Amino acid sequence: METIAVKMEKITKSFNDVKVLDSIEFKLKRGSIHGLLGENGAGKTTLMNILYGLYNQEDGEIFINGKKENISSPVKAISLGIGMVHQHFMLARPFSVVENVMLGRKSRRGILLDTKQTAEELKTLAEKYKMEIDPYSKIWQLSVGEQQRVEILTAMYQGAEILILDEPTAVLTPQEVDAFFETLKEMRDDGKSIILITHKLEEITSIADEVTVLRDGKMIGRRAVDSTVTKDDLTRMMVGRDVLFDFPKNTIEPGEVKYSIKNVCAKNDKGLPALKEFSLDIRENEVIGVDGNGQKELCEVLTGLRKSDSGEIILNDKKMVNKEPVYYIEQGVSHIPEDRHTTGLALNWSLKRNLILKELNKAPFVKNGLLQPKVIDKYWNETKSEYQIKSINGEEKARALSGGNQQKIILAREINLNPQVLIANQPTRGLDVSAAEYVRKKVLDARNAGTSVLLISADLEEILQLSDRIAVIFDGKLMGILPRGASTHEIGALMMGKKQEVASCEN
Amino acid sequence: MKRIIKSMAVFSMVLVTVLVSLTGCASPSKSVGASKEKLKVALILPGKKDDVSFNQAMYEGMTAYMEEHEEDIELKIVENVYEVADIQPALADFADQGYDVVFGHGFQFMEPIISVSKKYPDTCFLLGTGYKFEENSAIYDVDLESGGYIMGVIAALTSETGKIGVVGGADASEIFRGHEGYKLGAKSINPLIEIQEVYTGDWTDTAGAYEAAVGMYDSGVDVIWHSGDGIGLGVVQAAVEKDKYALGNVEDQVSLGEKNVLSGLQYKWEAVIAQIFDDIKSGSFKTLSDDKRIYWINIANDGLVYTEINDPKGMLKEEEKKFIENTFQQLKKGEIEIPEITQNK
Amino acid sequence: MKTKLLNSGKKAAGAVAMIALALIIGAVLVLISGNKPMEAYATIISGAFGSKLRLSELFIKMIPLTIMALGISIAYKAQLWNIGADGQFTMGAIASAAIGIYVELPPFLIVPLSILSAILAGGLWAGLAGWLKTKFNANEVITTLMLNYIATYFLAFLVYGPMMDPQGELAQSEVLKESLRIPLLFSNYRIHAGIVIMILIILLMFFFWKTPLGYKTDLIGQGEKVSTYAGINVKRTIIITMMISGAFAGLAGWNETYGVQYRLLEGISSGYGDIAVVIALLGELNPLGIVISSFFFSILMVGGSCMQRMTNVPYSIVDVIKGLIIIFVIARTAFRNTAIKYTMKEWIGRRKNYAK
Repeated sequence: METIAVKMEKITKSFNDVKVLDSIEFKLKRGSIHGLLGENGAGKTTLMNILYGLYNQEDGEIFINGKKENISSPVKAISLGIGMVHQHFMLARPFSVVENVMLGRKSRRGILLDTKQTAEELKTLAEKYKMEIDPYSKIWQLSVGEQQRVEILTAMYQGAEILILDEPTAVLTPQEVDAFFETLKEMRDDGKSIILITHKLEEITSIADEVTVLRDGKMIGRRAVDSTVTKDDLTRMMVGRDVLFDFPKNTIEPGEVKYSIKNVCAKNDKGLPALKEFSLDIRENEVIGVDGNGQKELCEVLTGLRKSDSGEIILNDKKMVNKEPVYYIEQGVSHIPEDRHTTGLALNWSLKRNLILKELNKAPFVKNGLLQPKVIDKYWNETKSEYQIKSINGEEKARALSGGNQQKIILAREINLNPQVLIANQPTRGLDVSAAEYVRKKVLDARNAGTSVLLISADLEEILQLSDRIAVIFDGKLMGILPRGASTHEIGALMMGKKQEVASCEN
Repeated sequence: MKRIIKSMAVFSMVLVTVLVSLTGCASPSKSVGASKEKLKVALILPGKKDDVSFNQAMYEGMTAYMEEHEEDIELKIVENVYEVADIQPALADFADQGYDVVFGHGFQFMEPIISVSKKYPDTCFLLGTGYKFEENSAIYDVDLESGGYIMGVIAALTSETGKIGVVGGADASEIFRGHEGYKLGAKSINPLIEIQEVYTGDWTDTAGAYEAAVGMYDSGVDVIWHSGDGIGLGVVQAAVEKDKYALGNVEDQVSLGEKNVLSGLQYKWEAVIAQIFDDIKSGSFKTLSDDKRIYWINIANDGLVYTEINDPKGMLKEEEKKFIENTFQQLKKGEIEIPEITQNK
Repeated sequence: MKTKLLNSGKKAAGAVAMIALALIIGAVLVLISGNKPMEAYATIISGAFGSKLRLSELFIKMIPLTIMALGISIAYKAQLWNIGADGQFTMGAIASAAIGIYVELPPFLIVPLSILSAILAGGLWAGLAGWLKTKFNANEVITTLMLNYIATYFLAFLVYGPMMDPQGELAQSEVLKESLRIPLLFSNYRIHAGIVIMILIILLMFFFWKTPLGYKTDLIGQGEKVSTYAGINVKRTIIITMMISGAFAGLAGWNETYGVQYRLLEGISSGYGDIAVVIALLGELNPLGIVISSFFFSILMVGGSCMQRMTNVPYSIVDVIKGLIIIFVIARTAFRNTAIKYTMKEWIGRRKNYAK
């Protein structure tokens, strides 16, 4: 039997005269997990959409199990045993799991539905691959991770031998990722062939048997993943140069206290106390990292998006507490929000408009009551080249951009406001290596220019790298502040709630 | 931006051109011209031609006249022109298209006819009920007092309880006069008769009329006359449910309640339609004196008749039926004097 | 610029396709009803363009439809589904008629006062729905619809009661003095100088979307979170947006009262509000698109009445075409969602595969 499940030769594809795939070679061994690595926009998803029949290549050939095939549609792909789980799931939310699996399929019981039988089969299949799922629960009741399992199960149920997974871990929590990888290994041992699209190096080193690296639509290399493969090797292939994982130490020492939070109490969306008598001072030229529960509420209180119940917020001797958000913007509090898609950007707006989102009624962009396209264009062009934003002309919708480019727009907007304070919430979440590096560098630049930075990140390494001091929150209370160079151990100890210094709020 | 301004400019130019073309002298409506040409006539009905009421009566009157005049008249009938916004455009368009005679069948056509008739002096306009007219317009209306009188006679003769009723729509002049005639007729039979009277205020208020009629029947009334349209439907419905008698109006309404519609007034517009067309053809229409500008249908000119007595309950004796017919003939000959009724409004 | 043109070209092509499909289905219905479709459509065209009078009527319809649809488009850009333009129109008509009938001042004062009152009345009527939304989270679709009923019955109360013409018996007020009316452009036709106001408003709309207020309105439609984040007072902007939207309808009400009817009467809004919603959506909320759609619907309405008069085809065909276009507009919005597109592709894929 042929050991190569998929062979793609000289695949070429263009969108609007731009070559997004240039003569790509791809080979997938049967019974293996193959990582498809590349930065956002490298062409990974496009290549796999061609394999799945959603796009047709302009040039090149595809062989499945050694036989040349013309995959003109997903119908054809499925019949060849290829399944694909997209980043955005395609499930009917009001329907149950088993109903989704049965959608569009002919029932074996004539005009009656064979729900029960299908559900049993589904359960067996799920148990085999260690995926816990109740076939009768409705999709909308499931977590994102569970929905992903449904997608995978559907593909397996349809008889997929070759499974394409597009950034599957992006939606999973760390615990879920571990379980998910177990499932993948189970499938591989069962003889299935799996293609894992990702830009995360750790995933390649921890699970893939082989890796193919793409960069800017070109095939960079293909190699087996063994103990000789290092993260640096892969990064170099992916980015094309070395990436700084360590930043040079800050030379400018933090100055005077600029933004000061005193005894702030605030509730979360459910009306439960989220911040309890919280106090923190942020100084000039300082990055203060924050870790622990209550980050989100802290961020919102500090930008006027959430009302606090008591306490004081003072910026340069000005009392800020419970003012409208616009007041915070005017006083120089910039904010990189946690959610780029619903908060940081108007996704259906052009990049240009997003860039001036907070200055829609300010000179020089507005004159005589009208927006000044020429001024905006000029500003856009400057920013675009300074921040290396990939865009045709700035008129495309923000939705069309990769996560890294979207974050660059936000970063440019917030930093160009010359902020007194920068609240950066998960600034590098979901970004690929080089984009994350860029964002971190910009945050440090802002710090060195005098801005006080409050950095919130789930990535402990990032906090350790960038912060001058680290504040740890537990259960809405400040547990303690650690100096630069603290170990993860010390942070972990504080996060477990070992130290209790601050009294809790009334009510 | 330039593109937008450009397209706006083009659009406004088109608009201006179109408007300028309107300034060209108002082309005169097609003249009536040679007598051999057919007279173009439009009849605009506010409702449907088979409404068993106001619209149907006119439709039948017009078609009856048409049967004998197909050679020299071309008739166009439009139904359901009820919305205020549609009336004036419809009138003006017919006049503009060269129609010689336009009928607007309803009171709501009065103001529009006044304003359109000034702009189209060559067209003759006819208004179905109302009181305002111009040189080239006239009114056809119903003289309801004599009709009401005969209805009152029938009701009073039929009633066994000595209580009768009448339900009207809007308190407009013709209906008011009809009601007064009804009272006179009834009292000529029984001076002590109790007459209950309700105006619903609205021609289409079927529900209101129904409730009023039910109330009357429950209080012992056994015959009710009504003023047609939606009102009539409500009253007849109540009569059917309470198994009492109703008297119809405008059209022969026995079909609405075969066991409960005793009789009724029927309008025969053909009685004046012929006169109207004769005046138009002879050219005297525009020089009519003001008192001749309202063409009345009444019992005397066969414009009003009562429909055959339908008495399944047997409440009327033969001699009473004869008396009714006798009274009708007397009204026709002018032998019964009805005092002039004026509405002090 | 090129992609922009291409985009608007695509959108226009979509709208044309929808209209074409609606007309084809309409033609089938005409055929079923035993009439000739080509004759019916030819009558619609000649009914709208066949004479100077008909052209004049065409533009009389187009003025209120365009103004109202433009107002609606402002609210819709902010994702505020104002369907109460009829009520706002009615309130504008009532306020301006009351000023014209009861206030004793020289015309040069009355006319601007009446315009102002109409704008204010329409604006407040819609602003009320906006306020209810911000205060009680009341769905504006429901509130604007309910306010339509209130306006309609208030108008009925007035024209049957205190404002009824003492000279007449119909549900209408007395006539406005000639000196107050919008001047006619040509003595024999009803088309009046209100068309100038319509053109001014169209021009104004092109600029509106370039102003900070226009951008703010648009941003509200992009989501509450991002708007708040950008420093916009969302609640205030919602109320202001609704008020502007209603002010347009109020102005249209003034236009109808002072330019066409010369009095207040029952049913003065003639259901323009419903059609204006379709026009705004068909025109993609774009001013130029709205002007073209409004022109199209004016042809349909004026020509449709004529078709009903001159042939045996009922006016209901026009309503059917209108309804079909509404369905297509909604369907288009749904199909634009790429997730749905992909899902459909997948489902179709599965079905075919299983069918084997």
